[in-house]
Amino acid sequence: MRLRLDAKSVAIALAVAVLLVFGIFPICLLVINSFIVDGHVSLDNFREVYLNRANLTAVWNTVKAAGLTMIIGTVMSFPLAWLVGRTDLPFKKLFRMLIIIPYMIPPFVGAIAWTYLANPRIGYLNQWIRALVPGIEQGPLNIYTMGGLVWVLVLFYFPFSFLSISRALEKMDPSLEEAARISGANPLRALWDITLPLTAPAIAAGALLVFVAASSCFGIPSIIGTQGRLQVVTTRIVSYVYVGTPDAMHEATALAVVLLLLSTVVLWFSNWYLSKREYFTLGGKSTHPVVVELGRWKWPLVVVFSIVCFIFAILPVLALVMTSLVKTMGKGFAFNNLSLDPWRAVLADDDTWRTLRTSVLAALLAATGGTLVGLLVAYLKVKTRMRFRTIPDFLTTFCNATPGIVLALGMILAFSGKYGLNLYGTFWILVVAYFVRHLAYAVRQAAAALEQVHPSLEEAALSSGATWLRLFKDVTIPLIAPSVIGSWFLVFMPSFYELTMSVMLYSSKATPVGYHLYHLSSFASPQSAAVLSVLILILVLIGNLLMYWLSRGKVSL
Amino acid sequence: MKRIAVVLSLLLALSALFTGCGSGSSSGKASESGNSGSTASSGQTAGTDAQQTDTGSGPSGKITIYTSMYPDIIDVVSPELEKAFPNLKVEWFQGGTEQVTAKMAAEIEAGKIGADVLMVADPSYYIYLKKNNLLLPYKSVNFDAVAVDSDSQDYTYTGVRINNVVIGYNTDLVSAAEAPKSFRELTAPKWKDQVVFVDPTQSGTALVSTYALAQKYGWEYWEQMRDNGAVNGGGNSSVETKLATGEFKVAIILEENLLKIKDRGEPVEIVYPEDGCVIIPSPIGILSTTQNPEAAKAVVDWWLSQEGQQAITIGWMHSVRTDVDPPKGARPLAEFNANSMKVDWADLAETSGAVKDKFLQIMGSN
Repeated sequence: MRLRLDAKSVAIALAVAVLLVFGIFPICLLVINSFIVDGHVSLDNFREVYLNRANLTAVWNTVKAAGLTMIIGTVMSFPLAWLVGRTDLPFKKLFRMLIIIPYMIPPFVGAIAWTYLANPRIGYLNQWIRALVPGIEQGPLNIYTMGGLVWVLVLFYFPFSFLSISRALEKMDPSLEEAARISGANPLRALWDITLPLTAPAIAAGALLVFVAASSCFGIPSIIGTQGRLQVVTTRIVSYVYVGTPDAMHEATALAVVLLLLSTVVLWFSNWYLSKREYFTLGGKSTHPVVVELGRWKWPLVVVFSIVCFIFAILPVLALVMTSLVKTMGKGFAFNNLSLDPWRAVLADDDTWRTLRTSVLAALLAATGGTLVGLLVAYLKVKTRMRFRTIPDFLTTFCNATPGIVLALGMILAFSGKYGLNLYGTFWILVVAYFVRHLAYAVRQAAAALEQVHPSLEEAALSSGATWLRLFKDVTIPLIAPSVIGSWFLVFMPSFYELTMSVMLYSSKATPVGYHLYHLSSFASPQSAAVLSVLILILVLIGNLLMYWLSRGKVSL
Repeated sequence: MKRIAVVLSLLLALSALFTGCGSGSSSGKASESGNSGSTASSGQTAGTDAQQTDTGSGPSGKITIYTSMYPDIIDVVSPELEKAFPNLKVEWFQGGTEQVTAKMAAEIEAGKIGADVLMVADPSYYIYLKKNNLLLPYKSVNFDAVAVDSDSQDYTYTGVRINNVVIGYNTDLVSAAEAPKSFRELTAPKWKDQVVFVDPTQSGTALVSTYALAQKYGWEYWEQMRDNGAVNGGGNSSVETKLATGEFKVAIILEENLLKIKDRGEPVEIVYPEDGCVIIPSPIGILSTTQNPEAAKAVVDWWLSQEGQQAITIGWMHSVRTDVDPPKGARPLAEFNANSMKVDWADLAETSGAVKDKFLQIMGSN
């Protein structure tokens, strides 16, 4: 008994220690700094920052954009996840893969793709619409609006919600639904009364991730917001940071605190909402969810789903591919203006492969560490009764809600050797930064999955004499394996193409692909940046397909 | 568990694949191989004043340069520097001026500045650094050949390249006769909803031009621009694309961006505005924390030599020396230098935060 407890506590303590050292410590350094004015503790920075009207507008815009993104994303995810998870919809596996493609495109690039598609004057979509409907001079679509911002945020962040819900649906015990159906409920009634409430933890977890991701995102609002005259908190923070003086950095941190508060409120709300409910839907019995027959709705839904996939996945990729092939941007996409030169240049460039290699390796390490630590933090929260068990979980959200650029600055402060660890300027700072920033994704996924595992299974293992390590390895992890792999990918993917922190933390010895992408888009040409994005996307898709194939369809994002 | 193992081994295999792809040629970064060879030849001509300083084997060890110059110049310069200083390893950190200064700010606070030499766009930042005793005074052997604003009292920084903010127009949409003649004209109804400019919070040079225009015409200029539908298009590269694709007819942008894309065949042309270009003599300076001052000084000398200055013009910027030709396609600096807008660098150093705030305040309210 004694030993069992120890292994468990040691593992969890280690995970929490890692989180504290690498995530919380750098942020705390920055936050402490924000209270210091001319060497004295003071609230002047906060007064300065929060009395500024532009900042208050930015806070409101952030709440509005992230809130709308969360609501629209969640409302949209559920039917889509249900259709691919629980019905006999044809091509559902293909649909499932297509619909989360936006998650594989770096948001920065995706936002650029959408400005090519829907800028009011010469956006591809607007040109097509105007060709079909004569008499319109400008528009009708305008990406540079709040609506446009929310639209792009939804496209890029709804996969959090979609993945979370569809995984819960896959794992749900179907006997409850069957019981409802046998008792005479129609499929919709069963969906409303049984499926929806049972997946509530996953829905809430997904919604929270969407909100936090949307509110702390910088790439998308920086591209759409500047032209649309929409400031959000992250763009304001970055403009403070870019002033370049320590004072401005303190003000940036003071402003970053608001993001933290926002995500705390959402986190608290979702915890409160779920606190009264306890669900254990994953028993030890083998489960094969019943497939709902769509009947005459089948083909109309296929059409709807195809259109959705086309808009979500194909259109932005198409815009990128078209851009990557034009010779000069001025002549647009025309047959006498096509060239493969950017492709040749990017593929022949050593930097492309060197940076891809660095990023794969860094993301691989970050994802593996993140999955492990995330699992333990989630286990602590969900499966133990320790005091303060939810605090590490909250801290991961804290790290995630901190804008990448602020986190990167904290990393520089903390790991330059002043406090014993000298990671700055090495490959490891990238790994640490990716790990800390994306850990929350792993925790959320694992927690939602663990919440569904009934304690009886663990109790059975323990009473059969298994040690905790054995139990964890042989019972808990296999039960939630799809979620574990999902967590791994949720961390791997954004780490692989991470841009904001990479640009601050790269060194000549370790240059990640995100920096190379930034370099191409800010210097070389939009065409070569498009080439690299398409290349990243192809690699990610191949990886995903290979995994799907190797696991015989059991594992894919 | 088995599945996870499969996934992991698969990814390891994938990364091994990349290793295979990349290791065809060397993977060392500092050597900056790749496409630099083609452009390097033009920078090899004479101009060896720099070598006057180094006797014997020259400086050795390692130095790091933080810069906001575009990477193509680094590609041109790296092999040249390697040739001039065979025993010295030069490493680069490249980012926008604002990124470099943000990184510096964090490093200053952490007490570990990674840069030996700094080459960012905005001169006012050097005034800030000088005030904090972070710059090493050094009068280069080539100092007197430099014809632009420099620190002629303490020699803590020297102009090394000239960025020039001008007006660009899309030749498919605007004829040469119609093209705007001045910055002032851009607030006229003729250009309603047609002007795009660079975000001063994202670009150091745009900060200077925003400030210069506000000094010359008052902040009303930007209010009128806003009311005339002028749009903040983000960074320089994004604005360059918006002009080339015809999303906007006219842009306020760096001359070097226009020269570069014009050379590539994009339909753009340059206007040197009658009310003055905004000329930014971007400096070079040595950080006082450098561990290798001798090498840093030698590198500064090299940048200010004819050879280093030719590399600058290959990167589409103007040289600070009068004995180096302007970049391809550009008018010589002497023709528009006298008429350029006056910028109070010391004032900008004090007020850059306030300038950004004021600008965002104006642009934030529709």
